[in-house]
Amino acid sequence: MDNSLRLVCFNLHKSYGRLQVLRGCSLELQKGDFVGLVGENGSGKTTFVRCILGFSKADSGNINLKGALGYCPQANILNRRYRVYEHFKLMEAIYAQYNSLDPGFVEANIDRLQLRPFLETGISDLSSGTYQKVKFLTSIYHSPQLIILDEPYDGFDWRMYLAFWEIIKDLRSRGAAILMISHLIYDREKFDRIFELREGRLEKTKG
Amino acid sequence: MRKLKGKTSVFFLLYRLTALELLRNKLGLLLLFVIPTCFLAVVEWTSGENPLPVKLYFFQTINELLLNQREISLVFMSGAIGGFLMSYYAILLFQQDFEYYRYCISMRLSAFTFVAARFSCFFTLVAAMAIFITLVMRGMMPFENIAGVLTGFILLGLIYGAYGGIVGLLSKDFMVAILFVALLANIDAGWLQNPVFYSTAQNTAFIRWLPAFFPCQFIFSSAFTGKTNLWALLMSFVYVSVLFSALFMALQIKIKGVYHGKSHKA
Repeated sequence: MDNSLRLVCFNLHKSYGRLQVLRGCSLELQKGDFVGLVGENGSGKTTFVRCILGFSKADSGNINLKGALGYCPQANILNRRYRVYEHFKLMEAIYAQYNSLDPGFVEANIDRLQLRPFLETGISDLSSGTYQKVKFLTSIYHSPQLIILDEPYDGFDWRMYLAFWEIIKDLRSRGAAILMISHLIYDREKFDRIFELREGRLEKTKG
Repeated sequence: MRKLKGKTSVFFLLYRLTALELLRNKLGLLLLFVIPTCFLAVVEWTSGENPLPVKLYFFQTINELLLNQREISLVFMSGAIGGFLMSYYAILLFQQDFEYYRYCISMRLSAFTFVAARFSCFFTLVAAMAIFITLVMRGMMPFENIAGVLTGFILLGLIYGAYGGIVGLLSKDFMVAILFVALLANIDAGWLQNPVFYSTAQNTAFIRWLPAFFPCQFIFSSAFTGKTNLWALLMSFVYVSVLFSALFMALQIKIKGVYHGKSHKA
């Protein structure tokens, strides 16, 4: 795999019974790439991501990932019985093995996302927007080289939406390749490429 | 952010966080002590002193002895309640928020570390429950028998805990898991392991291979004869090992396929 490549996904097929969700999807992400993936509800975007991550086994195709991975899932998976700082502490201990932890970057993003007042709060007590911010920060905490964001700014207010783009810019400047999945994508000019998942196939709509 | 500074091993951090999870389940924690107390109080209040003939199974011999109804009921009921409670806690530990830990494992948390930390915390809980029950019963047995009884309750807790963990991992629904636990706990620890029942049962072959049989025999032998039933002890360890291996396998099935920094081919 080429050194600058972060993700290569070739000819991916996936069916659930007779329903063909993915029909030969191929995608490449290079260092610094920012790629959008759109599609209607139920078009298979999350299935595509789950196949890339190995959570679901594709019926056929090849997937290659390189470097530390960050993943912001669409589902609300955070442990409701932890406080925010306990969750981050655990993630920090796990991410320590990547040797890419940058305390300055983490601190800056806690402030950018205005999470500092919530560090002592229980995850079950967070508003949906703050919960989403914690989830997003979790995925980028260790400055990963490949980031997959599934509906990352759901519930963000305008200020947070702008902070989100600042962080994305910062991550790209650090060489991260980012794949962002959303049913609606605004600010299309910010993306290098945008694909639409339609009838199981990836169609390039930008780039 | 001061609280995020300082390196901690993932194992100890996860152990501490698991303990916090359990401590934050205030109702569950209260029930850990209230349920055995209620059951044992009812037994104490309702059972008589009539001597009843019971059998205890050793490796090649069967000991028959006369025990009073209260003593038998207290020990038997403690086992039944302890088994059920430990299964309940194991479901909480291995089913609830599993998607979170699956996510952590996909971010390279070692599955072994996850299981080891959960097991260690679970073992602490089993030991706490066993100590509590043994202390409640300490008046009805000589002091030197206490260690054996305590060991038996720990083994029973581990066996039922492993069963609860397996059921919790394999079913997504808490109600389904708890009903599976209630099914086995009621049939096995809560009914067939009652010495009054099995001592006169027609067919004991089935009863003697149920998971609570060996730890219950070890508890009864230690409490009422003062003898160490080595066969029951050994077989209890076999059950613990087999069930914990099955629990680990169930976990492997659940996390199968998560990304670990390798390429994969469909």
